[in-house]
This record gives sequence, structure tokens and C-alpha cells, in this order.
Amino acid sequence: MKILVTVKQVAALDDEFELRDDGRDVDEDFFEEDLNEFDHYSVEEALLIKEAAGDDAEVVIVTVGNEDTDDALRTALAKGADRGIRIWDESLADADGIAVAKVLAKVVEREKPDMVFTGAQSADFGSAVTGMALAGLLGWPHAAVVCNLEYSPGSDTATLRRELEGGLEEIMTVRCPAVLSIQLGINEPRYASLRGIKQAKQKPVDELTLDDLGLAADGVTSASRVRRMYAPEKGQAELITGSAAEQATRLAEIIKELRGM
Amino acid sequence: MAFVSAADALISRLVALGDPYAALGAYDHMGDEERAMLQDIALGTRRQRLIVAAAPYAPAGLLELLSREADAALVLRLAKNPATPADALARLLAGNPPARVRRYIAAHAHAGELLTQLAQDNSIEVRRAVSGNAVATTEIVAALAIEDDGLIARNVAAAPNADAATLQQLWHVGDAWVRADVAAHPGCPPEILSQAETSDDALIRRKCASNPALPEAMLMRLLEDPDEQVRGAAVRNTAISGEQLDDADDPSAKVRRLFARRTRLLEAVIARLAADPDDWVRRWIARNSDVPAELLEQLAKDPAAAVRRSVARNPACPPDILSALAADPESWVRAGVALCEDAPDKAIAALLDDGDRDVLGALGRNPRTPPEQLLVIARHQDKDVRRSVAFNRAAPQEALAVLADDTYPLNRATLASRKDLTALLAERLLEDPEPQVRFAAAANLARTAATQT
Repeated sequence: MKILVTVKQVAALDDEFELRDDGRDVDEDFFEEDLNEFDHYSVEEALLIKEAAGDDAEVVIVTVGNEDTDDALRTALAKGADRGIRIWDESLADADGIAVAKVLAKVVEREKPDMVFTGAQSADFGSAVTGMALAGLLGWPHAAVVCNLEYSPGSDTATLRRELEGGLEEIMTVRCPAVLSIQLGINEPRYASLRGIKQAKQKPVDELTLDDLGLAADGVTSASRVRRMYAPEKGQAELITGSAAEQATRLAEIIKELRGM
Repeated sequence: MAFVSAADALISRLVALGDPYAALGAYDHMGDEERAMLQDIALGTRRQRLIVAAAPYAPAGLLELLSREADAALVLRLAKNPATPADALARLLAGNPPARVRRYIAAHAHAGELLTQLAQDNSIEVRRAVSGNAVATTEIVAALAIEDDGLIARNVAAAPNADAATLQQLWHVGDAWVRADVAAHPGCPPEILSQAETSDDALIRRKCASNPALPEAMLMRLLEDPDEQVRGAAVRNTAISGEQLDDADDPSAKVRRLFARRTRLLEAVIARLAADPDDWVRRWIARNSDVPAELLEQLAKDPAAAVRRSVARNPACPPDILSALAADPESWVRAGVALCEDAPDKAIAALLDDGDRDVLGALGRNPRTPPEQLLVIARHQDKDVRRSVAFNRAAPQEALAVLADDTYPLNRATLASRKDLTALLAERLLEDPEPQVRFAAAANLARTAATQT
């Protein structure tokens, strides 16, 4: 029994930041990096299943990123995951969720897990696309925003609850293996013990290239490209007071100003 | 010679560790030679220099060093950092930084003498920041008050150093919000206070009622104001003694709640408030240390658990009442008893077998809790309950050693900040995975080494 959990090291912005010279992302001087908050929950869910199975299960953490993302990987390993896989190629530097999913799909083919967990979204870009795209590429069932899961290792179905709009939830059954995108609050993520943190340094991490997965750089092109990132101009608000006539006069002035009349 | 050996041993250890956070923690407690070594560790990489420049816990000496670098990202962080010293801010300003940076310097508590120059800055944002800086002098404030800018006017009206002439000028030209701040200013001239007291605008009367320099007669009149918020501000104003507040029958429960928070109230007023139909009024009066024992006994039987909790938290609560409340059906009330350091042995003993997390967390903080019970609490499954022991000045070393291995980083950080932490535990925490823990542990060890001179 094997659960594969995909994780991402995300950027947490300073309250004041500047953009890169190319205007397509934030200058790295102005953010810190950390394990995606959603991934704490998906890792925890996998560990709970592993522990319930009497440790007769393996939890494998996968990330796509350069060596700086080892911190995120080791954080998940320190909590109790068994081993890690990190895939990197310079051509993945601006990879979007689709390109990442193509890489992850090859890892899934190689690892043959019984279940794949992703975070519901990444805290920095929030596209919520990787899990969905991965399931699509694999042809596996997928459920997004999973807030409760009943799954026994070896079972060919899982029962889960999903959050919907308007406070609704739906209960559904999916065939396994499946890709589940895990929502915040599904569990209470643990903190790694000091022993776990030390042990994580010794746990095996496979460092793979696109070649190792049988992929070429032109096989993992992104489906989208960031053209420009910018802070939109703040709107102005004005409290209009006075009599009805005074308010109407001021409103007319504002409309004229905005229309350049 | 003890200092030399202890400090030398610590420096050797810190250099061997090469950890920037431990170096930062120890820096302020070391001599010049050791600081130079720690500086190399703390500021070793650009990323680390950026982190230090933004850290409010960073030593001023290191921030001053960083201000010598002409790096835009560093300059922005230093200007925003509340710990950046005055000479570093002066150096930043001398480098002709952009308006955004000048704005942060203008708002900085250490800007001092730089404000004269910044008050003449071309950017209105910078001048606004100067006007909102509490250390701006009377002259600067007066010069800025002339500007035709609503935000500057509001800032100046609330500036501690605004003089009577400036306030008078603002009263005549400002909008209702500016006038309200003028009325609340301790330096507000008496003739303006008279106008504010009788203003048609309740906002201005309310701010006037909050003025700590308001004459007693005016305050007494504002206590009769038809607006409950104005009366509330007057009740809250400490310019009037609690003994003079003899009318606790205000029709507004919000105002009566404020009465109940005042000290030195008359006995008759306390009695009326203790029988108030509003839970919050009784809740506040039950915490009031002027309440006599017989009234506390009555409040200890109040149907509202929050009122009974307040009795337990009242520093004047007699031991027999605390003992009775230790058996209260509400855990929040029992937790209040468990927090009392002067609770009778009987009350503490009654709580030792309590399984509620609030009660255990309170016992964990109480130095009267037996050491063996503190050890049990330090091993509790709830991380917040465990942390309470780290705050307990009488916690046994065995319990603190348990917390040094706690999985929750904040618990280890709290432990590492204890002034009585043993060198053994502090050295263990020097290699903690959390930077905050290593910082506090190194500061602890360095402080101890410095006191051994």
C-alpha cells in the first residue's frame, strides 16, 4: 500500500515588496519560502491512514523544484513520511500547474501508488489545477476540496465529503486509485518531533531529472504564461454628505471627473 | 576570570555552530571582539542580511552596520524596522532614498532630529508621516498645521507636542474630526473646552469628556449628557475619582459597565452594581478589588458562570469563597481558582484530579501546584496545556526537560526564554530546529556569561 503526496514550496510575501525587472513575478528578495499550508493537511491525511494501517503502508512525498525546495520535502519527511522524490530541470523554472502535472504523472506511473493526495491549491498562486490535471493525465478519478475521507488501505473505493458553495457539502464515493485534493481543516496537522526532524535528514530522497522520467523539456511545456504581474491601482472612496441636492451635485462632479468631461 | 572562560566557551560553540540566529541572540551580551565574530555569522549571506534588516529583534549595532550598505532592499527594510537606531536612519536619509523610504523614516520613533528636514520634504506622504510621529516637536507640528491637508490636520490635532496656539488654530479651520481631536488633547485651551462641552456634535462632546485635563466641573456636567457615549467617556476619565461617581443608575448598561470598572467607588454604588440585571456589569464589579467579602459571596452564587469566574479572579477574594468555587460545575470558573497563587491548599488539592484543559493549563502556571503534578501537565497531550508549565517560575527541572523535547515549537521557544533556564538545557536548545528557540537559548547563555564577570 502506497500513498503519494505531492507538495510545493511556496512563497510568502513581505507586506511591502517589489517586482522583478521583467515584471513577471515578485523579486525573490521580498518573500520567504515555506511548505504550502494546504500540503500540511494532505501529508497529515496520508500519515493518519498509514498509522491506522499499522504502518503497513508507505507515504512518499514528491515535489518539483530546485534544491531550495528540499526544505519543504524534509519538513514533510520529518512528520513521518517514508521517503521523498524531487524532480528538477531548468526548463521547469516557470512551469505552470499543467506542466508540473505532466511531470507528476510520470512519477505516478513509476511509483504506482494506491492513492495520490495533493493540496486543494497552492497558497502563492492558487490555481488549484495540479491535482485536477494530474488526474486527467492519468485517467484517474478526482475529487477536489476534500474535507473528510474514509479510506482503508487496499480498498477499491473511498468515501469522502467535499465542500461546495453556500456551505453545502456532498458525500461521494470514488474508485481507487484516485487523486484527491485535500482541503484545509480536514485534520489537525502534527508538528514534527525533534527526533523526526533529525531522522528526516537521513531519509532517502531520489533526485530525478526529466531524462530519468523519460520526458524531454519540450514535453513539459506550460499551458499558460505569466505576461505581467502588477499591483492594481487602489480605488478611491468618498463619503458624500449633506442635503440630497448637495449629494447629487457632488455625485455629478465625480461622474464628470471620471469621464474626463 | 569566570566571564572570560564562559564567554570564550560560548563563542567557540557559536562559531562552531555557525548559526545566524544564535549569533543574533548572543550579540548584545558580548564584547567588541566577540561581536565581530558573531557579526560575520549573522550577516554572512545577502539573504541573511535582508532577514536581519527586517527583524525587530535584531541588535541595533548590526542594523547600524547594515545601514552602510547601499542596497535598496536593505534600505527599505531598515527604514521600516522599529529597532533601527537614529544614526542608521540618518545615514539612510543621507543616501537620498525614494519617497517610500523617506515616509518610513518620517514615521520612525527614532527619527528625532531628522524630522525637521523631513517636515520640508516635497512629498505630502512624507510630511503626513512626520505629522503623525509622536516625537515631532512643537515647532514642527506648528509648521505643518499651516498646510491645507485634512490628514495632516488630524495628525497634528492628536500630536502630543501640539501647543495651545496650534490647537486653537485647528479648532477654527478643521472639520468635525479635527475639532474632536483638539477637544480630546490635554493641551486644549480652556475656552475651546467650554465650546466643545456644549457642542451640538456628540462626537466632539465625547472626545471632550475623554480629555484627561478636563476641569472637574465640566466632567460632572458631561456625566449628565443625554448621549450614552459621552457619559461613558466621562465615567472612564480618570480625572475624576471613583468616589465622585455616585450615580450608578445610568439607564444605559454600557455606561454602568464602565462604572463597574472604576476603582474607589462608594459602597452604595458597588452594592447597586452587584445587583445589576446586566451580566457584564456584575462581571466587572465581581473583579473589582473594592468589593466587600459579603458581596463577593453573593456574586459567587451568581447564575452567570462568567460572574463567578470574575469572583475567582478577584485579588481580594477570600479563601473560603475560592474553596467553594473550586467545586463549581463550570470548568472556566474552576480554572479561575486554579490560577490563584494564594488559593488555599484545599482548593488546589481539589483541582489536581480535574481533567479539564483550562483547569490543567491554569494549574500548570500556578507555582503552588505540586512539582509531580507539573510533570504530568508537561506531558499532557494538549500543546497549550503543556506550555503553561513553561510559564511557571516554580516548575521543576524534570518538567522543563520534558518541554525541551516538546513537538510544538512555541513551547520550546517559551522555555528557551526563561531567565532561570539551566545551562544544560540552554545548550541543548542551541541546536533546536527552530530559529526562534536557538535565538532565545543563545541570548540566555550569553546573558549568564556576561553576569559572571
